[in-house]
Amino acid sequence: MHTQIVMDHNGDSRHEFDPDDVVSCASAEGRFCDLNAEGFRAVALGRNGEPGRLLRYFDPSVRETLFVPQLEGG
Amino acid sequence: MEGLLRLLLRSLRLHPAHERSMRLLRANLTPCQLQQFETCGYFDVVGGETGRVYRIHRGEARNIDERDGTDAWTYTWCFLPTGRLAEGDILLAQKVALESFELEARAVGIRTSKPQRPNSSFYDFGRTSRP
Repeated sequence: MHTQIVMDHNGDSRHEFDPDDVVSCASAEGRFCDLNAEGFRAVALGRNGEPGRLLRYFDPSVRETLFVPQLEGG
Repeated sequence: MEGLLRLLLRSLRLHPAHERSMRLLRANLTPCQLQQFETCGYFDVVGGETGRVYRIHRGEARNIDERDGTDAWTYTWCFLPTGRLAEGDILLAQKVALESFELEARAVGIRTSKPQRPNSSFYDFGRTSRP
């Protein structure tokens, strides 16, 4: 199973999906698009804390995707 | 009353969201960054697009320093994710942003010059110029 991790006021919310299941992937892609539209940035997390990769489009092969809310200057 | 309790828990860092966010942060630091964080309260990251070095300190605002070409920490950056996120999430968002979409983070962030240490030679000059 692959995981989408969404940062929120509870710390984070996790959503698992099966990359080999069409319905599960469609649901994950829908979440990806919705969050992108809200301003979240999706990053494919690197292993052991190594730098990740910004995802512009849904990639079902990514094991862990972190969704970061839109940034603002403080 | 509930707000007061939440504020108290937040200040004591006992809020479950805080603990959860810190677990997520620790799980996504390199061994080197984790050691820095546990011992010093900060960790260094390399900007994914410029190669510049940043130091992210614990805290939720104005907590990022940028190192210049002379190895001096010259600038302080302030940017953070929108919404009421716990500290660990903020630190991880800052790390991920600098590593994966650095220029976007710099575009929205506010940069200020760090106050420099007083130039000791200036004071030496003042002392030695008098007979």
